[in-house]
Amino acid sequence: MEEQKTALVTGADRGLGLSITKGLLKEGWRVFAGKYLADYGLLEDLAAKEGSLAILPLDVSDPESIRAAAERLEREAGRLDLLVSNAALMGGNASCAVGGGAPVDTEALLLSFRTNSLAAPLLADRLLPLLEKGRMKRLFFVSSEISSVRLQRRTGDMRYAMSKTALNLGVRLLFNSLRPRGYTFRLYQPGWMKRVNPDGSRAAGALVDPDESAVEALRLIREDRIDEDRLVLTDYLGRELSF
Amino acid sequence: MNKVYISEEESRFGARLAARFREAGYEVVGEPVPGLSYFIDLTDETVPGDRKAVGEGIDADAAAEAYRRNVCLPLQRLDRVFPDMEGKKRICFLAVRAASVAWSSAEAGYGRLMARAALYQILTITKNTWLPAGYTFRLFDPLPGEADPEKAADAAFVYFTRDRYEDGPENPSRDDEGNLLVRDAFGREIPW
Repeated sequence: MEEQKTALVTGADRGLGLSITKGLLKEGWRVFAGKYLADYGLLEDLAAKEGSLAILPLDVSDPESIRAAAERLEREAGRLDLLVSNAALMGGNASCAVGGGAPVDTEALLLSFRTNSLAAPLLADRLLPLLEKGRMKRLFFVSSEISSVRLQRRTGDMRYAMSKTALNLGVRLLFNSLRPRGYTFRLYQPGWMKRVNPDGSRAAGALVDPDESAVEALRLIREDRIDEDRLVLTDYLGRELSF
Repeated sequence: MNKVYISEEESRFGARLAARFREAGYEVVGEPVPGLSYFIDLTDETVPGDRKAVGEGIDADAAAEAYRRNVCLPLQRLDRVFPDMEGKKRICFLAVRAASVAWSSAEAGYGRLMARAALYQILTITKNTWLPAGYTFRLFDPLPGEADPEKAADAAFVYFTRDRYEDGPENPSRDDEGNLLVRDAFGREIPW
């Protein structure tokens, strides 16, 4: 019998992180799900039904929280096959627009950087000993189409856009180091997703349900690609986007 | 007189670039002031702890400090004078080949290089807003280690000062003015 594979999913309280977590559990994975939002209990509801789910308090902007999570994973799992780096902070642009009237808010920029950009390489760095023991060595990063400089037509959303472009570059540096060691990478644009409320209902607006986006995400997790030596950004419809 | 702000004028690259502007009749100032014709920020700082690759213990605080120095502070400097510019109204920053998501072969320098990638993004969004008001933008890779800094500065002077329209200012959609690009000291385009 094949040994159960282990994954860490960050930002699993709701939305895509929760949907990927549910999908992995259905496919037989053991999942450590990062929890950050105190006012959401959807993970706890799921954990009550799923013995293979462990909830892990995790603030990815805090290196100490990442260290504590890595230690618990070491104790309870001893290895990691898959990292899904999904947690992110949205952000307005008013305080970060150049020439926007208000001073550029450095603290806001740094918080977005630590959460949306730097957390991904930090997680990979701190979890590397566990990933080395895993069999799959797959790293999945949730980016966004807003990260593409080439496709950028917006006049706002600066803080979020900057942080996701920085994420892509951070993933490139990881790819340069780890691809030669057998790691495979996924950089994913999940689509404009419907917001999930604390009771699990969907807010109005947006285009894509997180469960729908998770279908493609899970395919990317499950299947090998014929071009693993290329780092590519692909979306929930399977399209490749330019950087 | 047309004013040019150049940060890092003490470097060989910056000194040569400032000299070229002075030869061309510009007043070079060391602080950003309203009414600039050119805003040129040459910041590219390395923070000692920000040199670790994955598995070597990436230093989060060093990476954040490199991000602050290489994108947050330059944006604050630009914000002090933008959009109160006159004349050419051109914003110029350095680019770094290792910050190209498509091309980079770097394995370390997370904060410094992620900052540069973020800078490309915010300049592109700023360009989208301010191009119709006559603001233009340049990103220049001086190829450190490959090109002589003074020759690179000469190339930068040409790249920063010449207009790069194909059909004229009324139709910038398909040229270097309508589309922010990274070009290196040899004029080559570097992909994002």
